[in-house]
Amino acid sequence: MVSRLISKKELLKLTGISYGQLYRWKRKKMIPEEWFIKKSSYTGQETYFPEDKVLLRIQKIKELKDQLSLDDIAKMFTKRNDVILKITEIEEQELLRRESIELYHSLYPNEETLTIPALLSLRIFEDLMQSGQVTWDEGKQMVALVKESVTVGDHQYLILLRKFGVGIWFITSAEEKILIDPEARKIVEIDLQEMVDKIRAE
Amino acid sequence: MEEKGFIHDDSTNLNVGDASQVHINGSGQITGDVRGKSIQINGTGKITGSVESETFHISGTSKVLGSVRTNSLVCHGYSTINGGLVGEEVKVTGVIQVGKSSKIKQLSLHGHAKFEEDLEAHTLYAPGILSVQGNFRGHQLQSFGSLQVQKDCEVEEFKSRGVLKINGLLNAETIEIMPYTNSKIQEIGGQNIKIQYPNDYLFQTMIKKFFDWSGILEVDVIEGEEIYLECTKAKIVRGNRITIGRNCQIESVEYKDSLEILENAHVDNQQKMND
Repeated sequence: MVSRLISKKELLKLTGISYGQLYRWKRKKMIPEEWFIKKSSYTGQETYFPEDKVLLRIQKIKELKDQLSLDDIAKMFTKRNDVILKITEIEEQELLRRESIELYHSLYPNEETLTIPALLSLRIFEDLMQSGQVTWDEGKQMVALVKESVTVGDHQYLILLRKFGVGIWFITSAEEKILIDPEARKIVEIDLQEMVDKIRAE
Repeated sequence: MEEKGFIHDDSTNLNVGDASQVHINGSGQITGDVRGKSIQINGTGKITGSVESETFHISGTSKVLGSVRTNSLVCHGYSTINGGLVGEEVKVTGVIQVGKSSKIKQLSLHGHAKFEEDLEAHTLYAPGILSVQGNFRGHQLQSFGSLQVQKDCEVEEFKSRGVLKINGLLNAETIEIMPYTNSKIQEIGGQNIKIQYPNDYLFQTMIKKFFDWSGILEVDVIEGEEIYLECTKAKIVRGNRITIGRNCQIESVEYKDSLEILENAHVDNQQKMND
């Protein structure tokens, strides 16, 4: 799914924000670097943005900026994928059960560290195994998906659909509405943002 | 640990580990990492590991093959660090070269510094020469010499008198630039942007009198809210309230509230933007 691009000029016109605000929010990393897409034009380069994402983000910032300081808002949006935990640290702090760490070892034998999405995936795995909603294989597929595809800081949901016994995992952004085949059943729906906040609180 | 390791003259390798004070007077080499309270090199010193100490003083020539983490680094001589430099207070009056990404709280630079990767410095006071091959991030930047950034430069307060070369975006809340000689920035964005002729005493009396020469700042795009320009050559200037002053050559101006074009300014196209 490729989102449409919007030029910087159009964006400012549409949202009513100023250049000063846009550059300030960029400095605070409230609008991620990757959304500033350079394309060559007669001035050398022009900047474009993924339309849906940037409009939503600016709307959110505008809603929040009267209640919170810029730094607080920035913290909410900052991506924390780069936080890396050593497996030994996780064992010491008992953040995960031993079975989960063993599973991770068997899936990724060469890795001695965990990223936040990886930790998140194992924590979800534990919860799901305990509730007995999903099979072991489905759980393993989920770990691979969440570890590779989740971006901490984006509000995302994890969903498992099952039809005739075949399960498929989805990750979708909170704003997206998905329409489901009436014969399929939604087995799991997890707010990933909430889980991340919970983990971070520990 | 109250251990003192003094290395004089041509001593060979020494494994120090945790010592509270390490001095190299003359020339010496330390193999491995050094951890201590104070590390001093007077003369020539080489450390093949990393350095972790409260203070690190160099007044000769030093080479660290690992990284350096210290509260206070003072470099009067010539120093190379192959790894990164993490420090609270770093003062350079000599020459320093750092290989990997670095993070410094207060950097004061009277000499010459070259960072091969990114540099994050909360405050930078630089009447010297600074070259950063990656991105520069910080809070307050004051350059009175030469500043070269290969990628983007993002700070809250940017002040420069001297020579500038930024190959990416200069993004700051307030930007004040006085170009002494020809300077170049690819893109400028921020709230208040002011580029003007040097008006300080030194420039007026010395450089201008004897050389009759001042610089032009060349930029592709300038975007801000309050923009005042002199001696600037730009393709596009966009903003709310814009003043174009003497010796400017602007291809196109897009403004929202007001545009003032002063004497000796040249603007090819101007356009008022409506909401």
